[in-house]
Amino acid sequence: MSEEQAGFIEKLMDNPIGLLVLSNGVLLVVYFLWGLFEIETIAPIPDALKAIILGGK
Amino acid sequence: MAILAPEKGWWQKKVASDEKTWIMFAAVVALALFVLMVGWHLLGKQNPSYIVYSTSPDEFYKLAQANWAKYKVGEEAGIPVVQPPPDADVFVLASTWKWEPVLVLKKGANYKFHVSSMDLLHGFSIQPVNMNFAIHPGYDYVLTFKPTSAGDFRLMCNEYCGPGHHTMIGKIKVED
Amino acid sequence: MSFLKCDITGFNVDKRVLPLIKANAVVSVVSLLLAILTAILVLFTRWQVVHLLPVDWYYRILTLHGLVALVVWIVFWEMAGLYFGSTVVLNARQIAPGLGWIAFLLMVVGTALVAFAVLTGRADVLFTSYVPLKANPIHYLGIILFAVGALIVCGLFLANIIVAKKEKTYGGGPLPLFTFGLLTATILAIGTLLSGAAIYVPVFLWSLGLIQSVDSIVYRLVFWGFGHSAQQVNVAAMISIWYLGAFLTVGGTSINERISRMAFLFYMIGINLASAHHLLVDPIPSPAWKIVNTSYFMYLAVLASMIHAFAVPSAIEVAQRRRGYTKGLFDWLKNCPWGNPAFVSVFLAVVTFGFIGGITGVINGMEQTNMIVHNTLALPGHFKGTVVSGTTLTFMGATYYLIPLIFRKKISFFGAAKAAPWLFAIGIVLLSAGLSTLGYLGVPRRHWDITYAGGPFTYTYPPIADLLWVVAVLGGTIAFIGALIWILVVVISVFFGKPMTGPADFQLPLASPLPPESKEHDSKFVAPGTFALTIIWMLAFLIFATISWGWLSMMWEVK
Repeated sequence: MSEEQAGFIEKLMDNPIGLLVLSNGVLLVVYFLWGLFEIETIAPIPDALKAIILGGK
Repeated sequence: MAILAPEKGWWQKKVASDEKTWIMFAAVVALALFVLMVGWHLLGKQNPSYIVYSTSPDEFYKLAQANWAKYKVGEEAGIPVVQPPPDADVFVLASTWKWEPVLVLKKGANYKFHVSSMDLLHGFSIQPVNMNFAIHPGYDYVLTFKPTSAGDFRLMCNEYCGPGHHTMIGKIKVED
Repeated sequence: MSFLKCDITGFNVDKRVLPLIKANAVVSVVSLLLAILTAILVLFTRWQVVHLLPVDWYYRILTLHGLVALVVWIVFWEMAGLYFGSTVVLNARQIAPGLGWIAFLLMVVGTALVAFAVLTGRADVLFTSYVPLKANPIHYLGIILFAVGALIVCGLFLANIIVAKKEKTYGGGPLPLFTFGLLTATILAIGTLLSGAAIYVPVFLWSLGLIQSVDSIVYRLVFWGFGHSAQQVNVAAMISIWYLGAFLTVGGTSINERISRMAFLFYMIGINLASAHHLLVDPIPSPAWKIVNTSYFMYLAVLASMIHAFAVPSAIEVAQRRRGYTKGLFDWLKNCPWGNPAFVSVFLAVVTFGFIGGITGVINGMEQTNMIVHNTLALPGHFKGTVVSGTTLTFMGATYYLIPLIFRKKISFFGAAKAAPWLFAIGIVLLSAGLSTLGYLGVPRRHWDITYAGGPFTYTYPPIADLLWVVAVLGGTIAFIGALIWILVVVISVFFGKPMTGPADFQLPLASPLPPESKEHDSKFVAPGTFALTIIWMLAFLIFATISWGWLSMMWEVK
């Protein structure tokens, strides 16, 4: 870890609002937006499969 | 001191070697767990499926009826008994408070289960092999099972679904 | 505004914050009583030998137990903790105490509405209230009011620490570690409570008929952003108190504050993502989402927990060694203040949280092994080891300090006060062991009758299950007695106890100042005893992981 990085993290640790944004930003993107996107894009049962199930003995 | 601001130079203080060794060790184990989960998808035989289709209770019910009609071999306790051939699609329907149909499977063969709920959330729990999945209304969860042991198995509901929850038990028979 | 100077700690205490702390603490202790009464009813119903409650009352009492134990008791206690950590230890003033009272009122009214809805049979939906299971709007409204109240207190905490920094009430440096840990808890809590709003507001509207439907997978995703994250708040608050406890009881300080604080930072970044493990056996999201959320980021949080697991005991060990207890690996531990029930509580919480809650938690949270525990009794077995013997026991111990310092009363029946943490911890260990093993045999959680009477088929669990139930019931009963003793001690001390007249009445002596460090030992083995303990823990973890994955590999194949 270089000195400059350490300085940044040290400052971040002393900044409650910065930490609040970081923490909940990660949660929003990685957990919520990604997860909701996947749920919203579930495909319906393919017609080919439906035809097989409903069709020929 | 936990209730006072840290002493001067705290940020620069060197990490003691026992603490450092422990953290490295813990990090290696954590990484190994990560690799294990990814690796099990490639090499392991038990992975939760991620094939799912959106559907509706009506549509799923219709498909299930057609599927059972094809493979029905009898009836037990008022529930149709269905014996699909290996590699077939098998529809399993959860509703308050029963599992349909009763299944007769062959050990060592693959079956493509389609599981969905007619109403509430249900828990798909095969005992005594203890495999558990969450079943939603409006979603067709496609799980490919290969029974590796023969005998009489039970299919329980393990997601609370009202006062009759404890009567929701089905049956899977696996023949050698 | 007026301050008074504490004659024991020397802190300048804003007089207006004291009643806020007291009110929240009293409500929390009363709700713990409700939590353990409902717990014992649930336990003796699940034990088929007694099978106490009828089916509708079982689910009703179970709903109430979940809400009161997991939310009401713990969150009210945390509110008291947040006021304490953002004012008393910073010598700071309380911003807008009136708002604090509004928040308190909202939370009390919310709790009352929920209890009313549940007990009158309007909300037989359990703690999780998974849609499309529907409760009366009163139930959801109660939860929303409670969450809004808690959110206000989080805001007050942030306001307090920002103003305290500006006014330099605690010197110019960074926040004390204890308050930094509470800041972590607060930040996690804000994400948690916003998730709660994001799901309970639509569900409330749905229960009123204003919204057509709420998707059941979306509900589970967003609900667990609230339901599990709330437990991460507890973890952060609990660990903050561990650091505080190490300092108060033996004068121990984290041997490297940068490392401890980085661990809290890891919590802030990663720990709430762990909520994803509730969806591991749901059809969606994808394995990529599941593994990234539960492992990549969660292991950042797991790593953080491992860091705390070293940092807290080593703080105690190094302090004890400086006092001269340097013989062998564990002389320091033998000479800890075992007569101080607060120390005992923290010690037992660290051990049980690590060995039970932590180990089972990591395995339950892995994508594949989750298949063999999901919705089985292994889960209550797990969280008895986290939120009960970890968080609850920690808060019980810390309350022993609140009685003399905040309520200014002597602890009554000090002998009973000393016994309570032992009884509680031993009981919970047995309960957890029984439940976890039953879970591995496939016994479901939240289930009224595991003989499946009335169903089309029957099933009998292996005979060993009967014995495991006895272990669980025995443990639950011991823990119940321990908690009851604790509640009586606290209530009697607070309302009928002898007032504190001065430092001479203080029964939990604060650690004497440490002798100066003999030499600089920055880069050596400073805590060999702690190192040995953590290695033992890791071996236990690896054995348990091997058994679990081995057990999994014997199941049917599925993909």
